Amino acid sequence: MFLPLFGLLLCNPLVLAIHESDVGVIDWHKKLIGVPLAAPVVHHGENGSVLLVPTASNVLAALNTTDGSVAWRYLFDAADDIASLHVDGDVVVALSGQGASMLRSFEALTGLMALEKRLDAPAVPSAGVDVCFEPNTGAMFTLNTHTITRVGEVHWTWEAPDKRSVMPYSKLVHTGAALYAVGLSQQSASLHLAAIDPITGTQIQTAWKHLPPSVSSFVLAGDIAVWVDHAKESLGFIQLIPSLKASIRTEKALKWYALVDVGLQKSSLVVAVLTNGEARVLQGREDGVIESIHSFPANDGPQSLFAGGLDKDGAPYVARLWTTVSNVSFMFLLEIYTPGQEGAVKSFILLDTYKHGTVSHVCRCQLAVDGTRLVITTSTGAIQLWEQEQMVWGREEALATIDVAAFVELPLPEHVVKVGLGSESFVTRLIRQIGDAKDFPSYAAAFAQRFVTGAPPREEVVVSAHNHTASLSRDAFGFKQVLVAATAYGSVFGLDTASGAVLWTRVLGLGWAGEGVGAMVKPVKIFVLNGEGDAKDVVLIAQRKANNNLVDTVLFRIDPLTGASISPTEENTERLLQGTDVIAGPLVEAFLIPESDVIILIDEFFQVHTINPYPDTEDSAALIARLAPNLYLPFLENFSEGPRVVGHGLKLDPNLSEKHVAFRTWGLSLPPGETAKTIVKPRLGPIASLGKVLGNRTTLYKYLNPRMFVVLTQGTDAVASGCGVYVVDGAKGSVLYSAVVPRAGSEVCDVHATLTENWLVYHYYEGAGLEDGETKGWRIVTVELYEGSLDEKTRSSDMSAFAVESVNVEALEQSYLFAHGVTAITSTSTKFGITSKDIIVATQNNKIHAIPRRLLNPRRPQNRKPTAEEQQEEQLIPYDVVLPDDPRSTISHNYEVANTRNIIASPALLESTSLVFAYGLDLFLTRVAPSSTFDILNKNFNKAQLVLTVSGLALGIAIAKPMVRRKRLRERWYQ
Amino acid sequence: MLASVLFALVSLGLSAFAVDVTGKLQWNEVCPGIASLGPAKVILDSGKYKGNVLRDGGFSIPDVPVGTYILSVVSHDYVFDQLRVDVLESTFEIRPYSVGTPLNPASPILLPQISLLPRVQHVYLVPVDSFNILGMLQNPMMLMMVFGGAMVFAMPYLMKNMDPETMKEFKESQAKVSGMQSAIASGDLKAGISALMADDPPPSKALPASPAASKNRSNNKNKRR
Repeated sequence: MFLPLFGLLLCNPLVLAIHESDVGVIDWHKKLIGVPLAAPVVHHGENGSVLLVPTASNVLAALNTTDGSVAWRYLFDAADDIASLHVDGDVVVALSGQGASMLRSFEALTGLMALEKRLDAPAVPSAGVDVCFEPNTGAMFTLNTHTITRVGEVHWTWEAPDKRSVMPYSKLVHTGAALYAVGLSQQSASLHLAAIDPITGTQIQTAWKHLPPSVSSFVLAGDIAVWVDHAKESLGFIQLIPSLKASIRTEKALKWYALVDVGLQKSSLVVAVLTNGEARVLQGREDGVIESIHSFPANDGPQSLFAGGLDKDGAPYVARLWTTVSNVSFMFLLEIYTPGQEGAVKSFILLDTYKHGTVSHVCRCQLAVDGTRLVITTSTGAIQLWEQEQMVWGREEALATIDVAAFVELPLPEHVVKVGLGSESFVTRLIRQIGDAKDFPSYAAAFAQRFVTGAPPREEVVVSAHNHTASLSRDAFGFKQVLVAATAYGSVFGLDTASGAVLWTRVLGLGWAGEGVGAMVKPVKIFVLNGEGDAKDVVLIAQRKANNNLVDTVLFRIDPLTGASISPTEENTERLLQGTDVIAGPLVEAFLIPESDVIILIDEFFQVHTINPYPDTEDSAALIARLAPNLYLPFLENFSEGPRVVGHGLKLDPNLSEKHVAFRTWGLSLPPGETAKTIVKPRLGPIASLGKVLGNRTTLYKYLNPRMFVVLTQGTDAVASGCGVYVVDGAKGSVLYSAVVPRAGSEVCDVHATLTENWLVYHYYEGAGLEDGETKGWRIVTVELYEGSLDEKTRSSDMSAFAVESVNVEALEQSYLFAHGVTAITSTSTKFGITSKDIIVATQNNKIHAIPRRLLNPRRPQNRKPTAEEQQEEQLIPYDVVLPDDPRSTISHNYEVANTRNIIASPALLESTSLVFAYGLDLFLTRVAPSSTFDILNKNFNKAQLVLTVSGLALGIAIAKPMVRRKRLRERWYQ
Repeated sequence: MLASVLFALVSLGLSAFAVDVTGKLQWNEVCPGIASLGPAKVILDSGKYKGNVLRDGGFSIPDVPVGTYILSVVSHDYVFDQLRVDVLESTFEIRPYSVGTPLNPASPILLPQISLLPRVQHVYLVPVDSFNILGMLQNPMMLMMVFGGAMVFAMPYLMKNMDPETMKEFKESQAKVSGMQSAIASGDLKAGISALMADDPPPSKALPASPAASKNRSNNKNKRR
């Protein structure tokens, strides 16, 4: 089956593989872990130490403390949330999933999984989860609400005797004498205790102690449970003994405010904060008494952050970090205390809060300490390791949460920028040309050197250099662009596409909500406007949700080269990036009017707001008034039965509003019980040819309706219904192509589609194939829409949307088996659209894969061989149900590109080449040339051979010429 | 919401007949151990049921309801066989399965346990063709060129050492070929072919020795090219 295909692969370059020397030159990859959810735990091994951290991207990761690189990571599924993480010795244990019932244990330094086990999940949602370890046996105990399980060679399960009356337990303590479960219930104002034999699992004793209802939480220090009574500002504690008969002791001499668990339960250490801002390090003694061993003085700033950690020798450290606002800059002051030593080591870190956000208890930022080294996570999701006022390394983990991203072309370098030729006099031109000629000697030298040595052109070198300080100007091939990416943590990054370096970082300002209210800014849309002259202008539209639940739509205009705000203008990019509020309410949809720089925003009342950054081009109101009768805006609207696709027209009714208002013109009618899920907009770009010439010299004319888009739907009935794929005309809602694919019993439809020109490709799982002759597996369906059969032409590209012929569509389609599930799909795009388009998919096994257009041609003949003309003209190959999984078309090669959410493609200046950027958890950028780089000399081109051959020939001529001359002369003589 | 609750209930009901599908990956020279395999998991169908590969190569997919599934290994760098797994009420059956073949009727071959061997390691990159002077000289075009060049020098000596009669014959045939060439060049195809066919060359074309000699030269030139 594979043989004919293999033969083809040999004789025809179907697959253009990446050369080893291109790795890291044409592509880059950023391996990320996500923003930490909890304080990192420092683990010391024999050959180095790692930071173990669970993240918001549902990843458990280990970072090398020396350079911050990822030592290993484990990706949890979306439905398998990390519930808790526990480290003991070389073992990392994570509980995850529904009811925290999935137990996995990893080797701390290598990440190899030693155990994966599903525990009995409680019927009620789990309220308390904890794990503790038995020393020296490798066994562990897990607590889940009312159930304790021992996992190890001896396996037992203990359940609380009367689950209804007993409140859930939340902590587990193992002492030599017994295993204790401790739970606090504010409702019944009691502390529940259970003592269990760790070997047999038999219950020794259960008891409950009355606590005041104002106690909301407790912390364990060794075998002592400690709590603060907020009402009486007193400290209470009780020691755990097998009989559970110890009595509660209280301490009222000081005014206690709160307790902080610094993760030093084993060292019996806990931090208590007093109402006056002082903090005490408390240690539990063996006789069940708590004593204060250190006191941090009160500070004037907001509440401090505390962290605890063990150094390599197991000695505990307690650190406190607080902010002082001195003059205008923030300073983070740090004190590290080591028990047994007098006083604390004081230092400070200077964090650029306008770039990396801030560290405080409000933002759920994390702090970890390892000896004198400190790991902080900031409000913008950066992880940084500081050692004595010096930042050793930092990671920008917000990049794992990119919401929107766009490529921006760079302006021409200054010396190439065109000059106004008309107004130039002869003398000035002469002077300019002489000035320009000063670079000629170096150019000539470079040319000669290039010619002789065969070194790549300078542009290539610039592109591969990891030096981003080189001036930001366009390279010869347009490979160097700026990627502007906005993240869910309210930060915007400018990335260099050539090296992946971060050119600039900005933190989005909160506007009025920044003063005391607090808010979250979530990027929604990004547009690149052509702007004035050569410079581009990035418009980022974001929704700001203030903490008082007011939602506003904010617009940020960013200069892609520097990250500076264009409007309002700013000089100093060292501050927060401020935007302008455009709609006092949520945004429904935003569109960029084609061939203009006008953006229209639609608010919740369907009013149209126009944004025209360049009023002198054409007044936006006039433009809208002129275009309004011909504008059709389809978008998803939420109805009681679910989202629907509704088309809108624009009208101006001066009686109602001074703005244009969108009104419904059509609604996409779907079968009952089916709701729209997503709209996939087509990838627009230049169209090089209107038809496809077949082998027999007939033509199929492409159905090129610029208003087409794809709607993916989902049935409400999870078992019986399927998932729909519709291609819809945006002006009138008519369905041009539709298909229903099986859902395979999954809860959500997992269909991915991309549409470009007249070509639709979608991917789904065919799970129903149990009939004879059928099979299960992922399918890729390729569909091409044509105006009719052979040589039929309706001029669909410039036909009115309401022409009768506009519904004449003929679809050619073919389905293939694909080896992997995909998470994102797109097509490449080039400058003029002449190059054939590849489909780029992000697969389940963490790869970015290109599928050549030739393999997805829906005209691949079935049950016959393609004729010679077809092979020559259309490059047809026989149909084969299986798409080959060729590793050479894996454009991400050895890189692991995990959890890709979206792939975007951008044309380079070279027609043959397209830039592809995949983002999700990881970032990956590469260049692809679907029809090979036909417009530049192939890198494999053997220049040396050419030079050698030419010089060989010249040598031959030089030797032969005198010989021939002599011979001719002799002939003349002897004639 | 209701649908999902219903779904949960249905799956709970099914879980009365749920089985843990367990198996093991074997190591071989393609993939010598878990360290080179990297993180991998084993999935049934599209991944609703799955288990991770542990450090000993074993895996377990918990609570799989009754049904027919395709088991595949999701690994970044290695290819494994796929298997057909039929989960019964208390046990499961394993059959070989090859991609793209019908699932039914089921293969009569039953495998004793799930034991998967790494088949191939993906090779993503191709080495760059480096310049190789020997390889360049081994090129047939190059060999022809070198041979042609050698002939330029060797020909006169060969001619010199040739038997006078053979020399004459050779010259005649040379003249014939060159006559045809010149005829073709001048567009007179017929004359050229007839000149080649004729036993005796037409005197007008063959007699002058000098054109033949000059043709000979040009022929040599051709060869050299």
